[in-house]
Amino acid sequence: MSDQGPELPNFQPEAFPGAILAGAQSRLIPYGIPLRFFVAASMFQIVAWGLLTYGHADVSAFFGGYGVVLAALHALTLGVLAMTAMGASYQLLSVATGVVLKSLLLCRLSSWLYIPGTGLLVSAMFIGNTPVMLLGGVLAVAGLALFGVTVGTVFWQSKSLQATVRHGWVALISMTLLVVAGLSLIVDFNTGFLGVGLLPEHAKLALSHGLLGGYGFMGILVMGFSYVLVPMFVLSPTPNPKLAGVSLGVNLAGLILAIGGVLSGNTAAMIVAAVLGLIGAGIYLHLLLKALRTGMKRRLGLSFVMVRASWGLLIASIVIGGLAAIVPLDFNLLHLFGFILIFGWLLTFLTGILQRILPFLATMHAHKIGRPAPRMSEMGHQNITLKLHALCHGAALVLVSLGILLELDVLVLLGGGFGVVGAVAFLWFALGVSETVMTLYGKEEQSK
Amino acid sequence: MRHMVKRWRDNDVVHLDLRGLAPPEPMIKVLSEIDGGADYPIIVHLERDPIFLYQELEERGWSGRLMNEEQNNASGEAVVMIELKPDVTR
Repeated sequence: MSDQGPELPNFQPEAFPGAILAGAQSRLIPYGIPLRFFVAASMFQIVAWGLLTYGHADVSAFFGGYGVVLAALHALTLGVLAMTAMGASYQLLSVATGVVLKSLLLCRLSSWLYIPGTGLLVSAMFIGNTPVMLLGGVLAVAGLALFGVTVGTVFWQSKSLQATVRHGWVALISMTLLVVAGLSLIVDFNTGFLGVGLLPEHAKLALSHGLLGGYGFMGILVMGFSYVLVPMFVLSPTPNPKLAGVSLGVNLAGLILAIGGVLSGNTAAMIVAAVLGLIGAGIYLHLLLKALRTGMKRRLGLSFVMVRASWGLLIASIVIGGLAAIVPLDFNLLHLFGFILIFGWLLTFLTGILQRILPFLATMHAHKIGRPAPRMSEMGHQNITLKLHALCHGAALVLVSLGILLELDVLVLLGGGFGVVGAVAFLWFALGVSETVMTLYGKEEQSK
Repeated sequence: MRHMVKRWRDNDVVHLDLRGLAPPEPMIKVLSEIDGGADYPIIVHLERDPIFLYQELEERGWSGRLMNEEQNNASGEAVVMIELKPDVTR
């Protein structure tokens, strides 16, 4: 300790607050970039639940092939999950690591390719048009490639957040394998080249593609981001990076074993993979629950009810996945596994976190332009929108799960309907928050 | 490697040097100081502009402002003045 502090550089006490906080501008990217991903994701959520509702009679009978169920799955995985991850990564990685994004053009270009590409792909899956599916797939993959280059550069340059960065690298490698498998599956619809020689069969590659997407790309990315976002929202110390690394290693071993088991038809490997997945997820949850216990914020609101529920669904997905490997297909556990993994764990987590990120970004932009920040809890009509979303989302998960297990299409129909209502409420919230920021920027323009 | 927090007083202002701490540790240190009953201005030395901190300060009736915007990126140090808002009393 010393008695004299260092000389303060360029002290400008009169320049408060807008101009002074402009230093954040280099890392706070234009609001339109993350916003377009978040609004698109909110819209695709309606599409995903809508397609599931429309195809309610096909859900329990789905065993691959194009049609409404495949379209619903990809509306959710590409349209909602990856879309949200892209918007959040562009803004939050830069802010959290302190690495300035080199080119905003790459972010914009990725949105121009990825959003219409996903729309095209989902539409083509619905109507069963392979050439259009391939075109949409290539556009979406091009968008993902630009995303990979952009966030990969941030990971490469980052000197902090090592746990998140390591998870990010594994997620990007999984994403690369995922898109190779995805494009191969599309091409196979017309050519039937899979299953010949050493190439895996279509159904086995499709399941591996699902595992790579659910646990590899999105799952590992979500876990990596959790180590930054959860402590930031609850104001707790950073989780132990060594334990986070152990969790990543165990999860990765489980994922490799699961894919190996699926491709080779080895049931034992799939069961061991599920056990490893449970251990890896257990360490991850131990770290984050500790963060919740030690955090300075006690009242965490509805978003963390969703996040906690999603953690339960993560464990449930692994247990159901392990059981699906040993229980006969008649019990629909494989369908339930896919639903709980994607609509359960990942969608519940991301909508829970997104309802914190959207108002948070809004207040940061308010600071950036020197406007009084609206209270986060007052944005987006949260009392109605988020409560309605949470209730409907929960009801949808329970009803569709029961519908799949009991093969009662009417329950899937009802659950899908609840899902649509919840998704509309979430879009209402997202647009409400966006309107707040647009109004602030409108006032800023008028004041110039 | 564990980094030490440097704390010193310069007249009525308390300085906290939180460089070297991983996010969100710097934010936690600042908020702990405030929640511990501080009613004096605090100057915080960080590696970058603490964007997430401002909303937390706002909720507690404090304001924060970056004092070295121009040098921030070049010098690798962000100096932030944190004060209790004039209309707020402890």
